[in-house]
Amino acid sequence: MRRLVLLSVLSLVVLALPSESQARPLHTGFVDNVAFYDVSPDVGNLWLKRARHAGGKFVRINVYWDTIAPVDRPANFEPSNPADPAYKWGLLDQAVKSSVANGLTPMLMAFLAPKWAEGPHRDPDARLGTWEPDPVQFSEFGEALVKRYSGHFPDPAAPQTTLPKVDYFQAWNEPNLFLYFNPQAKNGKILSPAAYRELLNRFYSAVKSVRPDARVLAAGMAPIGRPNHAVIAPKDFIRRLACMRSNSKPRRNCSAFIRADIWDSHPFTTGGPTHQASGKDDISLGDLPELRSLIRAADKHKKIRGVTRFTPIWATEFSWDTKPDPGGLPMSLAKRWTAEALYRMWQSGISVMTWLSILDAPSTLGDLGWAELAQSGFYFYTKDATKARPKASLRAFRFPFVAFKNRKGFHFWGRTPDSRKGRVVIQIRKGRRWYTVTKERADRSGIFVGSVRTRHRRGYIRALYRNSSAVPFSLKNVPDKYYRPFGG
Amino acid sequence: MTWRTYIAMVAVAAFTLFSHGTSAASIIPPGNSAADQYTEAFPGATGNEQAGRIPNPNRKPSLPETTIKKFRSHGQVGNAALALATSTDPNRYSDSLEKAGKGEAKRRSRVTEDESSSDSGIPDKNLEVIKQATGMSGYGDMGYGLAITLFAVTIIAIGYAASRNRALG
Repeated sequence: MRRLVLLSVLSLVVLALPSESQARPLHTGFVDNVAFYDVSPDVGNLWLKRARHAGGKFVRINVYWDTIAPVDRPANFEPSNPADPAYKWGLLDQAVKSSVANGLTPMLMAFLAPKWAEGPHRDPDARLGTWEPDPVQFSEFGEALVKRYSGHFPDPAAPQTTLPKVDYFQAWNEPNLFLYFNPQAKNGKILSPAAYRELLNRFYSAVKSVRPDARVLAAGMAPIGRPNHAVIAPKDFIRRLACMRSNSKPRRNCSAFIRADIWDSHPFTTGGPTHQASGKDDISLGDLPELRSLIRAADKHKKIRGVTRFTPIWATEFSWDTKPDPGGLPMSLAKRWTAEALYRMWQSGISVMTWLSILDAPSTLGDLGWAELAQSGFYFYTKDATKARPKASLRAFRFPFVAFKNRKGFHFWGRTPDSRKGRVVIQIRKGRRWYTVTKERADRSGIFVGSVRTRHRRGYIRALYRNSSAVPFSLKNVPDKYYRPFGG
Repeated sequence: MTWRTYIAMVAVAAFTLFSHGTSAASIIPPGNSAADQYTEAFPGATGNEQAGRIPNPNRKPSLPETTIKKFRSHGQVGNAALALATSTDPNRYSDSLEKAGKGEAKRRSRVTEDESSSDSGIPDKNLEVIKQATGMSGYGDMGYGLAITLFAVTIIAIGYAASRNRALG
């Protein structure tokens, strides 16, 4: 009898433990400082409303440490004090307030050091703010950041009110890429992973010392490695960072570990949603399952230490350029791949993704051309924001839906536009008419999955939810094709 | 010239080549556009089959279709040769060399204030094709071996031809 009770208790404990196989959400959002914050408040609010309408829940705000901190460090400067008069928080305060006011959850990504926080002997070719950023100074800035957006800090622009609370803080951007973090290597020896580990761990401690409930993201990884250590391939970088000997085993005699609550990757792809990068340590969209295995192995061996047993994986940058960029995706493909990209991310365990830009950049800007400017928005470029024209791919982002044929019919996946539970109708097109084949319940995060047995395994399938219709998805297989993520 | 001289020449040349390649110079590559850092240099080399067959379906290829087909019929080697042959196509790569991150490039003021650009005249991908072909790529298993061997063979051949001409003369 005692055994039976013990067994029952154990079973209940096992069932209560968090499992990865539980229904997973896929929250979406945007990163576009230019459209949201580098404009007048009215225009910024308009774009933030559009982001929300596009199903966005999160917004990544790029926090330029070098523009908030003083150019020259004053003698009496208190870097961990957000009220220090040398700090210039005005634009960031406005960005956080407008994001929250429009129903979006901000995530602050801090990067680019002021000159006084960079290391000596900088390479003249290195971008300003990227040379050996001082981990101690960065952690003090992190402390100031988390104190300011704790929900208790008085708003200097509106007496009697406080600035909003922010829960997500990210330490740096793409530290495996020379555009953001230097030096990557010296005399053939790779340095950036160890340097970044120090930066991340100190930032984490600083944030948690103020707000244990805040979440810290490790920096997003650039997807492609380059020869001569100019860019360290992301999986190689992670292994070095987390002291892993292989993608599944830890290194012996290495006690180092990283502290992060969320892992982030930027899985840009030179192809379609299933495209795997040619480099064995690169991470494009099709490589996300391998990234997940590596992160899980690091979790298992306590090489990533955060608040959860399984470190959630986010993708805070992803996109494809579309027409009018001559090298961008044609709209018919963009509609399909946008929905499928979200599906593949969800399938690979990504829980939050933020799309890179909501509004296209103009076709040229000074010397910059198509390849350097992102036409990855869901609205065509226009000077007058009120007249911005949405792209057809916006519908696929807002209400992603895919269907693939299998042996007995087809299976489907989708997410409701408001990420809420409800009844979804699945229809198949025969000739010119649509026929309902099944009804499915979306779970509490709006995800619905199912399969249909039918002999009719061709044509288009669509999903209907309340007044919205997803972009019809063809059951015809579309092969992978070469497209540069930024066109040109 | 004697064989000993040739060998000395080869050794000096090889040393020069090798020491240049491993110098502690800047690892920040000149002349890269930011967008290139997010793009595979050789799409489809071991990835999905379809990728990389057509560099850009929306542009007219600079080589005749029959020539391209002939290249492709030789598998990976043919594709690499095709990449090299079309790498100078002025339509294919932008010459703009700004170093701002993607998306950030929109921040024009920041780009001009913070960043300098330098121009090697050869876009990164083309350089990598040449490096792969000569074994100088950091990712190639051959390392510098093939480059040194090619260089040595060339020097020896020139030296041999010169000494033979002198002997015949």
